[in-house]
Parts: sequence; structure tokens; C-alpha cells
Amino acid sequence: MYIEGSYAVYLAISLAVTVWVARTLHKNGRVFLVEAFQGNAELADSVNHLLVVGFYLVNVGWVAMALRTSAILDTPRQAIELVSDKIGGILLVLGMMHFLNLYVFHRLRRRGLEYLEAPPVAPNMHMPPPLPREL
Amino acid sequence: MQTLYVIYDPHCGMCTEIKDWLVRQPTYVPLRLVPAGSEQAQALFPRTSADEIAVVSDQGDVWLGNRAWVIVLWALKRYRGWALRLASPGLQPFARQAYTAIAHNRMGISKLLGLKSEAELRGHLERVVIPPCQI
Repeated sequence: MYIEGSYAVYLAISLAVTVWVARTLHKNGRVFLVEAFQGNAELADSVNHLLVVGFYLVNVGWVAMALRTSAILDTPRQAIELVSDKIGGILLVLGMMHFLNLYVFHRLRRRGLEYLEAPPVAPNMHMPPPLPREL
Repeated sequence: MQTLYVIYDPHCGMCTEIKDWLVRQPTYVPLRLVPAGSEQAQALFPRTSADEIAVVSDQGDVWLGNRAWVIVLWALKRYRGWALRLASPGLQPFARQAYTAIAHNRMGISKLLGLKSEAELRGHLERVVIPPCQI
């Protein structure tokens, strides 16, 4: 019986890759978030952590749900094919989640930088200062 | 730039309605609304005609017509993205339509900003009817 071995290999690889992607996101996403939150590192770290928690929940949940198979494994070849199949599916989902996260970082950063934009249209004219101080 | 003064026509139903909407919006640059023809408006920018808004900065820059509508959107936290888009020469003539659509939340306005082409966005804005000014 190869099934238990296949499950074990599948779980080990899937969870290891999940941890690796999550740590990469956590490490490299921080700089985007710090900029998005205008240098507020505390808030950026908090959001970064929350994003990673969500990432873990979705991925580990998906890994757990995708474990079950009805395949009957009689040969090592069938076992390897099953594990490969399952891990391929997990990697694709991880990849999509990863790009989704990058998109979220990008959106937050772009919005965060909006406040720096100068007026997009030139004034029609200029009134000589001084303007009345208090109206 | 610390303050933008928006000179609007106090006798126009639509303008006062828009003014009421404007004062509720979160801003990057504080907006001060000044009724046209008042003493304050005279001191700020004497030459404004009653039927058009004028925006005057505390540094003496004056925006009129479509540019004024773009600058008002630029000052608003939620709609700066719109101002940056509307600043292009092809869309600037529709700044007032865009403003009307945003203030009345027509056409699922936030979705429209995602439109890729300028022509597409212009096509939507062309259909916005600016309500007539009733005295």
C-alpha cells in the first residue's frame, strides 16, 4: 500500500511550499506596505501580519481539502503520479494566491502615494498675493 | 497649498446641492466654500461669473470652468484618482459631467474608473445630463 506514504509526501511538500511562499510574502511585501501607509511601520507590520495569516488559512485549508483521493495505488509509478498531480494543483493555487497578494500590495501602495500628486491641471490665472488672511 | 476656496453660485439649486455633498467629503486639502457675490468672494476673486464655479488657492492660483471641477475632485481623498484621469485633454471637457455623476453616484461610478480607454470613459460621461440651474 502506497497511499499513506503518498499522503505523507504530499502533505510535507505542500506545507513546506506554503510556509516558504508565506515567508517570502511577509519579508518582501513589507516595503510596499510601509510606503502605502506613508511610513507608518507599525500599521504596515500589522497589515502584513494579517495578510499572511489569511494566506496561511486559505492555503492550508486548501491543502487539507485536496488531500483525499479515491485512486487505488498498486505500483510506485501510480503513487508518484498521484503525488505529482496533487502537488501540481496546490502549486497553481499557491501561485494564484501569491499574485493576488502582489496585486493587493500594489493597489495599497498606489492609493497610499496618491496624496503626493500635484494638481493635475494648471491654473487659469494667478492672482497677486496677499490674499485676505482670514475670511 | 493649505486651503482651496470654492466660489459657487448660492442661487443655483444644483450648486448648493453639490456644495452640501462637498462639505461631507474627506479632503487632502481643506475646502472652504464661498458663495459668489458675497464679500468674501469679492475679496478672493472679484471677476467670477455667477454661473460657473471658481477655485482659488491660498497661494493665488485660480482655476475656472472644467479645470475647477478637476481641482475640486483632486482635493477629495476618495476621488483624487478621478481627477488624475480627468486631467487628460480628451476627458477634461467632461469634468463637470464626471463630477455630477460622482456626486449623484450614478452609473456605478467607481467601476467606470477602471475603464481602460479614454474613449470608453468619454462615451459614458457624454451621457451624463447636467441638471439645469434653477433659481
